Amino acid sequence: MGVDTVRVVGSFTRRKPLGAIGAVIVVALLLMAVFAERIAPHGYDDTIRGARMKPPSAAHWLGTDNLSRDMWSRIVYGARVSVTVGFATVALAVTLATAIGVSSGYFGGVYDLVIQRVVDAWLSFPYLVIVLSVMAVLGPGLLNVVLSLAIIIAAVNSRVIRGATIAIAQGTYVEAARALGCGHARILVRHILPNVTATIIILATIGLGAAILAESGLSFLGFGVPPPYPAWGAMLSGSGRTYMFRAPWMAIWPGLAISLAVFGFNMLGDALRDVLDPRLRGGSAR
Amino acid sequence: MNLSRRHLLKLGGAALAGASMAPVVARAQTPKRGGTLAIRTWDPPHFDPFQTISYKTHIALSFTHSRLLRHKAGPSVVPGAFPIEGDLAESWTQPNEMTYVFKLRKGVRWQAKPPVNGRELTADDIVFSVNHFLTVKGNANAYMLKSVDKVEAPDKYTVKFTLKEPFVWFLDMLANPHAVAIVAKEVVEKHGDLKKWESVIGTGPWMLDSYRPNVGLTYVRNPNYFIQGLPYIDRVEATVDEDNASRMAAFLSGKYDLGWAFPGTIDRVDWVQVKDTLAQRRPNLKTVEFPSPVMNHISMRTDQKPFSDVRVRHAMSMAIDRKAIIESAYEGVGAINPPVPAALKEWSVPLDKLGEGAKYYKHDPAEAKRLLAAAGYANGFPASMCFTTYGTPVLVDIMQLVQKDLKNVGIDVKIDQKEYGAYIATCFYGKFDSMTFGPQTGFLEPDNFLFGQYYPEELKNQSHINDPVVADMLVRQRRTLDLTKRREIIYDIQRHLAKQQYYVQMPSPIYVGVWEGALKNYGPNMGYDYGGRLTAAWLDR
Repeated sequence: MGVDTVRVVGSFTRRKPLGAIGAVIVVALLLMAVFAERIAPHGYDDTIRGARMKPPSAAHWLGTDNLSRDMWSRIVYGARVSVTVGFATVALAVTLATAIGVSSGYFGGVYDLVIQRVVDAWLSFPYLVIVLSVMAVLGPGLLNVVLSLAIIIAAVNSRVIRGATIAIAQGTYVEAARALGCGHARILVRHILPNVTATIIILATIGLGAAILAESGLSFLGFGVPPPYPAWGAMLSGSGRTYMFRAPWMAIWPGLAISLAVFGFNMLGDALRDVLDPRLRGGSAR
Repeated sequence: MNLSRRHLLKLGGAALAGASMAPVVARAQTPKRGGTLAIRTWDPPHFDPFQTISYKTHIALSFTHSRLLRHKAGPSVVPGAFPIEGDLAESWTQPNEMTYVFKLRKGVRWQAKPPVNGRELTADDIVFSVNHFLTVKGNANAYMLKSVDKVEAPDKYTVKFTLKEPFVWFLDMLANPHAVAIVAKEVVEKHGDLKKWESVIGTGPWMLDSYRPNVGLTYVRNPNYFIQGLPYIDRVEATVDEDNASRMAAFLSGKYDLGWAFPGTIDRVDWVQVKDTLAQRRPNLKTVEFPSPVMNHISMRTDQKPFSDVRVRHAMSMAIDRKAIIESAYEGVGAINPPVPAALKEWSVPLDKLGEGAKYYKHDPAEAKRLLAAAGYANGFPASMCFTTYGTPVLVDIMQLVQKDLKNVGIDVKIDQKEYGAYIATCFYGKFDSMTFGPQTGFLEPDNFLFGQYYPEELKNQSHINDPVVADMLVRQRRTLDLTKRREIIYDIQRHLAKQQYYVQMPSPIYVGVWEGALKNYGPNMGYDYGGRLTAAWLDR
């Protein structure tokens, strides 16, 4: 890590301490997801004889569940689901939203009118109705969770990206490029897209928290990743809730993991928005 | 603990002992009229008993409708036993093995609602109801009476059934709350079907006074009920309560008079958590424990490889640690089931009499691996397992244990989780490629368990079994009137099935039947007949 990097990190931490905490949580989450096999002391479905519903201890930091499985190991593996769903959903949603928002904002006219009415209709449905309909048709599973969440997030994001595109498309440098005979493709790729990137990054970071929370909600309702693979929402809604009085740690840890992950991504997203948005640069908001 | 036959008999004996004291008390007390009973219920999809197999509908109608026969209820009946008595039928005879003649009670009146307005029930109503049950499109329970050739009304108070073939379970089917609720032709003609709550008009002990979708149902006493003086309870408030935490809190505060889980019980997982609090807050509660007839099983495509090889099926059964399932999912209290669940004490073969097949119910992963290797699957094989959660975490837990046990012997199972409706439409009726895991309906007699699941081409033959030996025995037991001989055939069927392991049966939980002490002359039992069990009960508060 070079001196410059250290300086940037130090500066970011001083200016945006909550953002820095968010970044630490996000990095920890990523490490847990990538190195789950090395971090977790047990497999996510390993049953440990004689260890049913044991409270947190040195042997089992977060206790064990009703099927004698180590809670810490399951939380670590659960991070993989959250991170996968979060990043895959956001990647798909942002790609869709960018294609729709940039083309609609740039071309305008009848095309914009038609596209925006479709987006209006899309947004008019309560998001749970769309998500549950898609899941009911496609069935539970990681890919289907990603698909159903991405189409919701894409609709919202496309509106924001369209707004940013309209503002940029009116810039004099775009007009100049057009006057010089640049085609639409060149203007979009060379002039519009680079200038909406900051908006896209902010949307993506904030969307990660929303996607993780939504995945937890879907898992809670039984539409997430099928067991025994641990998803935090499913851990909370299934045995966590059933044994809440006798083994509260079965509900507390997955609940805390969801809260921390969402908090981390949201704080990081807020801080990045402040840093990347020229209008907010130098602001004192934390 | 897992329950052996001896434990079960003790349990039944204890229940009987507890129950047998109750009538003495009951005789010493004069039944009281009045009061409101509060129970938790489920929101029925609709109210047409001939258009759904849903327990939600059948439980709701158990308060309002009569059948020709019914299961005797009360504290003197041991849970798991289903003695038959007349409901609308006063008496019956069987002139030959294919003819049944029922004499109806006289003066039975329909509830005083339009379009029947309290007219007298006659044999024509029975004939109409049975024919409607058999012929209406979409009745998945129609198979229960498919042995009926014709039903006639020789006079106003006589009904005669002629069967196509001998069917010794015929009376049990008529008494089963899944089967024919007696309905009036005018009501069906007026409404087209019986789905609306306004069409709930029967001859039962209570009348449906109001229905609030997703909120509850209110029943009021039928003043013209055909047994004079009954029911004692004036009003039944049934609350739809879909959240377990809410139900638990409501029960702790005394809102419900029966355990909130089906059939008036409290799930052991919850019971362990709340029993001490209940002992303080509701010291008058009564409890009886009895095994559940609902058992989960793995069904598989036995008509295809690798499940067509009996060694693979043996290996799968021996891979399952049933005691661990009881420990983890049922708080250590459960019953290991042969093909007929242990809850049906009269018909379930004791494990120590299961013969050669008994060894396949023991957990022996080493032997399971050896069997798989002998069958040519030394490295195991991949498989998929169709599954739905039924909204119960306990089932999800058991499925995970099963998956883990199979993985331990090399069978790598991928869960194909479906939405409930999709599951019922496909996997429940055998439409799957590899395996399915889930519960079976908790029937009240062995024929429904055995014939439906093992006879070739039956709808519920999920494992696609075509075994002439078992098919022959299934037909024979249906024709054997002598109880002892029939039981021996049913035992033989189970011994044969244990050796074949067409389904891998899982243990069942032991119900904790719970009811308010002020509710007198009540005895819990399995099945949907909530109304039947409460007809002669009364409230002393």
